Amino acid sequence: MKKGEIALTTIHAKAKERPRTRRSVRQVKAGRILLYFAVGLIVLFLLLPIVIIPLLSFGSSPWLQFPPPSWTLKWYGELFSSPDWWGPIMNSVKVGISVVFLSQLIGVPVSYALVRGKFPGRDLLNGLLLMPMIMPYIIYAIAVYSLFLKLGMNGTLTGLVITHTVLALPYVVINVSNAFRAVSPAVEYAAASCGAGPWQTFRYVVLPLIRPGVTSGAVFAFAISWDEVITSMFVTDPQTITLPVKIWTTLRLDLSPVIAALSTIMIALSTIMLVVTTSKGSADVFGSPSGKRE
Amino acid sequence: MSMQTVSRKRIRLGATRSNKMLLVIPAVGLLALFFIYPIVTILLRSFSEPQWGLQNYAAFFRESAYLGSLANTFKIAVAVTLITLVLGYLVAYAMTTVGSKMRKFILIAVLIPFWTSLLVRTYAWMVLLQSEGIINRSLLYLGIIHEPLQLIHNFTGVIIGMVYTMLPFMILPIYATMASIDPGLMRAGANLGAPPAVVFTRIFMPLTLPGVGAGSIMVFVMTIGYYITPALLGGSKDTMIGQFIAEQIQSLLNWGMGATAAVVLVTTTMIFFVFYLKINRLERRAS
Amino acid sequence: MMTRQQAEENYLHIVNLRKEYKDFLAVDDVSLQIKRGEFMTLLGSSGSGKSTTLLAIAGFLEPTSGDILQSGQTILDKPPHQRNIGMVFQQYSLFPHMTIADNIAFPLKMRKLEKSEIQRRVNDMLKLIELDGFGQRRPQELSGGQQQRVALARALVFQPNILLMDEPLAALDKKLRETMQLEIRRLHSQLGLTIIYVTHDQEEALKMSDRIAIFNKGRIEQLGTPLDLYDHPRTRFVAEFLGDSNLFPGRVADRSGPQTVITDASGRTLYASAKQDCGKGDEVVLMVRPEKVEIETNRDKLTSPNFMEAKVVESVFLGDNYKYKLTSSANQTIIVKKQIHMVGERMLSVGDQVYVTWDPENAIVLAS
Repeated sequence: MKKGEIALTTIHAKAKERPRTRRSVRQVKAGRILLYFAVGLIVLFLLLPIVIIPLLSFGSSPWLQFPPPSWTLKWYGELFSSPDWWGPIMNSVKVGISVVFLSQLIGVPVSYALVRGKFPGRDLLNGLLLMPMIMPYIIYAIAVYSLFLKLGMNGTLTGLVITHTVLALPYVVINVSNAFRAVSPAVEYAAASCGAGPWQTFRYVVLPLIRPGVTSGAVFAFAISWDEVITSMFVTDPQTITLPVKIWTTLRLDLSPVIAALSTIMIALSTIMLVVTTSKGSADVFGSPSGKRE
Repeated sequence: MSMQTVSRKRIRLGATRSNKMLLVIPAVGLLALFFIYPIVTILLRSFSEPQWGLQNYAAFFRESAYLGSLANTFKIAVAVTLITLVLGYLVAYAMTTVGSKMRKFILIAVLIPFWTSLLVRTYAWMVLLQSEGIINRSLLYLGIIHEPLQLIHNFTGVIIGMVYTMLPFMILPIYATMASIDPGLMRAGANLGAPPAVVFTRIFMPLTLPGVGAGSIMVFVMTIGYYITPALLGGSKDTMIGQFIAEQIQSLLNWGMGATAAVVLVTTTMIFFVFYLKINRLERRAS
Repeated sequence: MMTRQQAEENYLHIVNLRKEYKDFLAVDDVSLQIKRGEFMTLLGSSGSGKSTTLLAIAGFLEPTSGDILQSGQTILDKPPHQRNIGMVFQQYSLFPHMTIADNIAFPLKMRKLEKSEIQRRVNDMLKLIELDGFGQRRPQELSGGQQQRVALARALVFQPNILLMDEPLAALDKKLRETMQLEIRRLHSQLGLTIIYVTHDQEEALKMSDRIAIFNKGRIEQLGTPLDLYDHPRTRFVAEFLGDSNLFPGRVADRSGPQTVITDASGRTLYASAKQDCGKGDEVVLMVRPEKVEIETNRDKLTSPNFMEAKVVESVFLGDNYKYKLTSSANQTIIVKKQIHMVGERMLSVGDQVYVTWDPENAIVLAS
């Protein structure tokens, strides 16, 4: 009798177990579907602005109605014909290119020292170099504004270039020092044993090997400068106003469709930059320029 | 002979040292003059203006109007962190379960806004959220609402804009952590008899905590210092501390009070950043 | 001034070299004279100071004190790229962004040779390493052995005074390593190279070197030809590091007779030749190489006074020889290697009771 009981309960247990596993499989499946549905909505949320703005930029409605009543290129025409926009665009390009060169000139040597050098205070230097990335931009903006007031540098392109270089430097250092780290010191030793002096070793061996890092560092530096609003807002004047500041001041008044046209171009540009840096393979996606800070 | 060698050697050593200094000097000079110096001076002005003392701090922590922007900042930062955490965790998890093509697509969807100009993104949301905008029109069209919702220039606007901006910062570290988890651990759990839900909550989730921690602190610390998004999408009642600082200095020329708020912001940022570094280091040690 | 003869004998002279780090003495008073055309191996385990010595010769680190002379002239005042010393690294360290030909041409370009001359020498080198036709390939497209040959060519093309090799074969598999060992030996004799070779592989060192310097804890433990080091190790460390050895701890009982007499731990008397570096009463170990131990089943056939009863506990077939592990009646472990001379030759089985024996001339007494 007892034996039978035990046998019976095991059968019961088995019988119960089967549907339970089947049910849990079904639950997992339902969970998956729910998950994918939610993630689909989130992806939609992420892409919506990027997709809608280009559409609206070709729409005729000055109030950016959707769907647009008819299609037009007039906002692009206005953007390219108005000196209001050309001046800031040129300023931004000038500053951006200067920032790329200056930040590389300063960033590449210091990255090399950080990776290869053994000197007291190296960690401190590393921390210092990354500080501009951590510091809230609004604080840096008021600080540099107050300094430039004293130096009479507000409203100068030089001041703007210096400010942006400070902000771009961490991204250059991260990218370039990662690239340096990937170059084995033995390769440098090998170059020296082949008779190459320090400069020749750098020029013919190290530089070609770190080029991807330098490229993505340059892209980051340009992107940082190109997108920088807060500090620029403080240190520019009407002559040196950059594109983001122009957008900012315009936005405070109205949502002009000209900005939609401009935004479309900028989205295209940033997509290209994304492709360039990720295909080079050494970009640090965690330190994206426009995303990282404002 | 050997004495001579030693002295010659010393000279060469000295030369390489000074070479190395040359590599470092431009960067240190730039940051010392145009970063550290101005920031230290501006922070000091919280003690020195209008006269030396702590009166600015007393005022900041007494006046509810001042303190309000600080409270508001934390309220927004906490909300943004929690929302991005939930959404980001879902996306990151989905990325680990889908095929590689789909994963690439999601990654691009995350990275494109990440790379797009902040102003462009904020502008886009201003357009989408306005009362005649797509969101309101769609909801009206679907009959979910009968009157346009006020989605902009208020708390909702700031939250939507900030969540949008911060989501990638949550997704990427969590995904990185999830991707580094050995799937064998989950199989082992299932093999030992744990049902899927238990495997997920007892094995998978604890292992993702470092990524969750890093992402959350990053989002929180970045949100408290934000200026552009709240300024354009928020209302006058929802100002954050960044706006407060700018307003004190730009409009009211009250450098002392602006600097005081700046000290509060910098201190908070640094404290959380130290936490962030600790978590990151722990994670690196674990992997 | 040195005579020509002296200069050849003493081509590279390392004098009392020391390298100290903050909490670690990497090289401790190393002196070494290397002849022109010699193949000198620095052998030791990691951290023994061999690589540090090599890097100091190459100029990649500054010695704390001491000197390195080449043909009587110090080279310490020259930076690495002016020393005209070739170097081959463990990780090949080819320049990944250059073709094979450009890699080999690099030292010549640095020396600003004429284009046609560079071309000619690169082609010669490619032929020498048997890689002609590979000039336009990239290093990544080559196998490990081919890459290391290119590295060798790059280090030789500028006709350096000395060639340094830092564990050049450690990354290769066994078969390839053996081919490359022969290849390097061939180049050494064909080109009359002076090579300083660093390795931790004792077999490799024995096979390739004219002389070996065995490094231990930053010092040279013993310097000599491979045969000399193998047959006459001066310390227990060298005996154990180079080849297998049987060691019997004991005490010197008598030095006066034609043989050195030792009493081992179990009280047994063992004999070694008279020419040993020890005195009566010293604590010593008696060392015998496994291949010099004979196995005898018949007690009457024993001729040497050195013998003990032992039981076979392990027998390993190694293709061309057998390796046995035996335990003596006094519970000492003895390793014996026996060549196989005939196909199907029947050797000992586990459990066999035998005698192990060796000639006193084959036993060496070492300080314990």
